[in-house]
Amino acid sequence: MTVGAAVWAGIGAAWLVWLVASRLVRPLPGIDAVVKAFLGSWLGRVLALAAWAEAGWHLFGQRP
Amino acid sequence: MQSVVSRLTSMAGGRRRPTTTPIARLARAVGVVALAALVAWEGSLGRYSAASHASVLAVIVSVVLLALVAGRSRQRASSRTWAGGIVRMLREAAVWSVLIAATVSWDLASFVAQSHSLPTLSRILGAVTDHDWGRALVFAAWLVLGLYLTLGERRGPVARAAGEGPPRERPSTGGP
Repeated sequence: MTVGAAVWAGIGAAWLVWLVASRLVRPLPGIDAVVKAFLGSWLGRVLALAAWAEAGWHLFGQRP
Repeated sequence: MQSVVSRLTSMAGGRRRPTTTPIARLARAVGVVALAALVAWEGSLGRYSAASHASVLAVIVSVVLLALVAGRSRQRASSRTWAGGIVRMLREAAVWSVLIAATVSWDLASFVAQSHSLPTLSRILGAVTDHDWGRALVFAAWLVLGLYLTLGERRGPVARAAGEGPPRERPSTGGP
C-alpha cells in the first residue's frame, strides 16, 4: 500500500467513524445537517452547486 | 428511483404533497424513465467524448436553471444573514469541518505532487468510473445530489401561504 493510499484509507475511516457516531449520538450534527445549513440561503446553495458542478465536470469529463 | 424523485419533489415544497392527477403521475413517471435512460446512456460514454462533455454540461446548466426557477422567493434566509452565521455553523460542526478540510487539502496536495504513490480522490474514483456500470452508478448519485441541492430545503408555498413552516429569517427574494 502506498503512502497516499494509506492516508486515504485513514481519511475514509475517519469519515465512517464520525458518520456512525453522529448517527448514534443525537446531539452531534450529522453530515446532512451541514449540507442543509448550506442550502439555507442563495449564497450557500450557489457554493454547494458550484462544488457539485466542478466535481461532476472533473469526474465525468476530465482525466481523473 | 421513483421514491427518490418523489422525496425530492416533496422537499421542494417543504412537505410531502400527494400526487393528485393522472397527468402529474404520468409526468413523474416519464421524468423517472428519462433520468434512468440518461444514466444508462451516460454510463456507456467515454470520458473524453464530445457527447460526455455536452451531456454533463447540459445537466449542470439544467440544474442551475431549475434552481433559479424552483427557488425564486423560496429561500429560507438571505445570503447576508447566512454569511453572518457561517462561522457559528462551522464551529458547531467542527469535526465535519476538519474532515472536509483534510479531504480537500490532501486531494490538493496529491494533485500538486503528481506522483503515482499519491493518488488523488478523482483517480481513486476513476477506477470505478472506468467501468460502464461504475460510471452510470456514480453519475446517478451525482444527479440525485444535484437535484437535492437544487430542490431541497426550500420554503414551501403551502407553508408560506398558511404562515406555517419552520422559523425563518428575513427571506431572500429572487435569484442569488
